[in-house]
Amino acid sequence: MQALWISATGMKAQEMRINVIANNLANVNTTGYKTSRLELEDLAYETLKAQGAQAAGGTQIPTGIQIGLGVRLSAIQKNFLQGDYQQTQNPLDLAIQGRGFFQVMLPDGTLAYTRAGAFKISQDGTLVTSEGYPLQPEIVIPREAQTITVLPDGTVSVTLPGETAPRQLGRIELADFVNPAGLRAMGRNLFVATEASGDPVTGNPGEEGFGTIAQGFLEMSNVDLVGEMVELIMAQRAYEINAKVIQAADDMLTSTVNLKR
Amino acid sequence: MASIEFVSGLVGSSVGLEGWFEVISHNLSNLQTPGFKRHVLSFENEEYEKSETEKGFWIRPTKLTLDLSQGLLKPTGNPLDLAISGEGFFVVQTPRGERFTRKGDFSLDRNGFLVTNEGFQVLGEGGPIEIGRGRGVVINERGEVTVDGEVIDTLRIVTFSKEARLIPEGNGLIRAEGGEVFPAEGFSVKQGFLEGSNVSPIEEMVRLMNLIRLFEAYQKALQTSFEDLSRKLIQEVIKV
Repeated sequence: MQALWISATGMKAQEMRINVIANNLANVNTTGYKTSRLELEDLAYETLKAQGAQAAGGTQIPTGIQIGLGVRLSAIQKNFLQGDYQQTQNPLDLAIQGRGFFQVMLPDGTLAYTRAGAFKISQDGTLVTSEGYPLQPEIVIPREAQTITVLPDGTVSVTLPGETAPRQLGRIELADFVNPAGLRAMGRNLFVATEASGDPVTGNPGEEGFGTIAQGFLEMSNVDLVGEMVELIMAQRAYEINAKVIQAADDMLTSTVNLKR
Repeated sequence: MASIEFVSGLVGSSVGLEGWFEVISHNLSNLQTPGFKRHVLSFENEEYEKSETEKGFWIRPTKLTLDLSQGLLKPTGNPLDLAISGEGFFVVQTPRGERFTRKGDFSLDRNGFLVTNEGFQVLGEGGPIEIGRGRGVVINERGEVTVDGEVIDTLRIVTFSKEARLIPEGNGLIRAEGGEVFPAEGFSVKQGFLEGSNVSPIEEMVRLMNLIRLFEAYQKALQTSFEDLSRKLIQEVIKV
């Protein structure tokens, strides 16, 4: 009885969906988190009766019958819609308004991309992420700096004691992708480029379609709580319905077995 | 009076029901697959002549059709999620040729072309649609794709003549055989929406209940016939 397996694919897909929803809900307060969405598609078809085949009476079967084999996962997509901003007053909290990612250097020398702009100052004065990965291009803040200013165009400047004019330290560069949804999420708010995302395009904030930098703000998670709850209810009900079908298939099999008493 | 033909008719009909059951479970497993169209299995009574005076029949599934009624539109906010309200299908270029779909959860590939989740290009009037790194992608109701204020192409939305047979291929793709493909009218493309599956859980559950009862009835009839037949058989043997 094929129906058993068909409904099992339905249950499995809904289970996966609940996993994705759970992850989204767990990250509802994670800075720079982007919602994941599970996408489903119907599975390949089994041809019960080919069209054009000869029927018993010698006529040709006009349509044929393709029986579907259920559902499967087609993709888990990241939704890169802008999250809300939260004002923090911390001069090292940077949010990107618009497109683009901060570039950070991983310990193995490769680049990763993030929108979580909660930067810190390391021991030697470099701007780093909470995990200690340095921002690229590197910006070193002098120890004696009194105020740090980051302009919307990414220019970082500090005022030093005894100097009236602020001193420019460098400029934050952003990276962007043709297909951000193709980035691979590696956890800790970081993404890495893949074959699907395309190569990164770098540029200055506020230019060529890149977003601008807002100092003293953090981009919050873009998880929509109400939407996720609705999704959760729908996933649960769909799971139950598929379970019911399996039960029905089992009942039918039982009554067939009981034919011979 | 039960006969071998009657029994085989019942068995055949039960097997036919199993096909129906598979269709229902496939529909229910795709309750939340975007753009999914409900499958409808049709049955017919096939008569056969047993003798001059007696006729037997059994039911068998004859064809599978797609119920093309509109699914509910669900807002997603993603600019590359497209839904068609009304008649028509998106056209997708696959290695096997052009295929049609109502599943509009598109994205971009590494070269900036509009593609399906499998990476097949979505076709516009002028071929594949290149969006690139464009920021403001606006797709209006007529399917005109505007990137950064400039109209670059119009989505091809097609429909089929009555004789066309639509064959589901999986992955939300549909193949059309026979008949003509021509531009659809009376549709509107909704950006930021996905069309939900048009499977109604309630209707499908009712069909399932119907099916189970029918199946049980066949089983009852079969059981009675078995008993009847074996009694007859014993009587024949005694006579000999």
